[in-house]
Amino acid sequence: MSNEINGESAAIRVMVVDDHPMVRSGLKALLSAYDDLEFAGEAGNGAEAIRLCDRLNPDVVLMDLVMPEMDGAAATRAIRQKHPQIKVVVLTSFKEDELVQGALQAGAIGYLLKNVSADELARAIRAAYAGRPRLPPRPPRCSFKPRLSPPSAAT
Amino acid sequence: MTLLPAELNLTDLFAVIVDAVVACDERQRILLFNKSAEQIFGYTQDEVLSQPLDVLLPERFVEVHRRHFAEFAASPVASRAMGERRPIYARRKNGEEFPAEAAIVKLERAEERLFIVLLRDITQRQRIESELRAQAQQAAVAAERSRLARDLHDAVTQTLFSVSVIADVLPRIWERDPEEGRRRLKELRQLSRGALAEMRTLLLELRPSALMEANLSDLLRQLAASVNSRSGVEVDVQIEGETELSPDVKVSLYRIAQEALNNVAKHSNASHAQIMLTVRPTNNGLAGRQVHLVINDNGCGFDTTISKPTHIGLDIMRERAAAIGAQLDIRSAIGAGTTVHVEAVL
Repeated sequence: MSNEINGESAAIRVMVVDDHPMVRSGLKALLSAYDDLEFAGEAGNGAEAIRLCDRLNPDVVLMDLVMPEMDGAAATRAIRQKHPQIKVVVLTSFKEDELVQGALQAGAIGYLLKNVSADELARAIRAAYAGRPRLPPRPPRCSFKPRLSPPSAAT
Repeated sequence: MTLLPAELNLTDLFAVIVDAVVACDERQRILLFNKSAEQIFGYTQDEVLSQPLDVLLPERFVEVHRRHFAEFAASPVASRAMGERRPIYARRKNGEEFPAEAAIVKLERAEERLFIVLLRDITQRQRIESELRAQAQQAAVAAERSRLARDLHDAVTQTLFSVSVIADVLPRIWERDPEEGRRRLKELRQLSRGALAEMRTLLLELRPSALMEANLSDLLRQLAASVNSRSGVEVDVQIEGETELSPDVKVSLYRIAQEALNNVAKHSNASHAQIMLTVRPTNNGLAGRQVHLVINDNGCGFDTTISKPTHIGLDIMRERAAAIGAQLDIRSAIGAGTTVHVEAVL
């Protein structure tokens, strides 16, 4: 790991939570490109994220909102309750006020849309780590409703 | 015969009935025209008394109506609903035609025969029905659009976000570790190809006629790439034989594969799946072809005795198979993956 050159304590340890494997993979690539950021682990849903936080104790969690089993807002609330030192930055494609508010009330410190550049995302992670909130610009109305309840798993 | 008092006057009754009541004799001359008939047709009773029933009909139906009336008059049947399958049309004083439901009753007394027609103007009802139909259709279109929007969101935008993030950091990665850079570049290629396959798959949903025109083996490869892009599951495609099939067979097999792979992507937790399509001549020596389609995965499987079929689209797959006279067989067990097998003789 290139980050280790700088000593592990220097890098911000980031956990990635998203139900899409290719999004996790892209974010992993992103984290590997910045010296001061480090990939700490990944989870595909909220429940897994909570378990992983107990074990890995990351500095920052990048959290998707709409996921099967347990959504991002519920996971954020649980993580912040158990580990108040962990900062949660929401990273989603939805920009409805109600989702933004829900995430912030759950304890997220940042809210980013999935159209940010890598540099912006890196800056937001650093800001969150330093305790500075980062919110989305007031967006135009979204043209379709997000699926708030995920499809039920049959198997 | 009746418990009604003898002094009940039919004319009084007709006066308050909401349907038009028109009585006529055997020669179709109007003898009675109630209040509702006046309102519906726009004639007063005085205007139509002794006039033939024809004045209440669009001209093009006069001839056939006379024939039906004569048949009914001669038949032993005492009453009949008119236009049982579809509404009949009547004509108002101002010439306007309107849809109606009607019934006719025959009363025989000595040498005399009396006919009573009960008629209801259904213009309003038809208008409401067609509005409801239009609304239902609009709702269906809207639902379909939002499903496509969701699919685009669930699939293509996620992939493209990943593509953009990797492209952003690729120069940095390359500078530091060319080997890793090349690996990420390969990933970029796969992701963008996957996004392309997903776009194509979704476009097929917007234009189903394209589905009929395409070759099944191309469709299955595209489906595999699209599922791989969306879920990360590796999907191998094996095609054997001549896959030029009739449109209905092709569409049904495609839909079954699509449904099966959706399950793989959503529920199976599999790392690997396979689509195998084999088309060969039937081995009983008769003309015709045997088609096998197999979709299997190495995922968690499910208990076939307890899983609700609707959950995993089994109904859809069964219907599709039945539509082309194919046998559908689904085998699975906890921890042992799932195999969907379709067999048809064409």
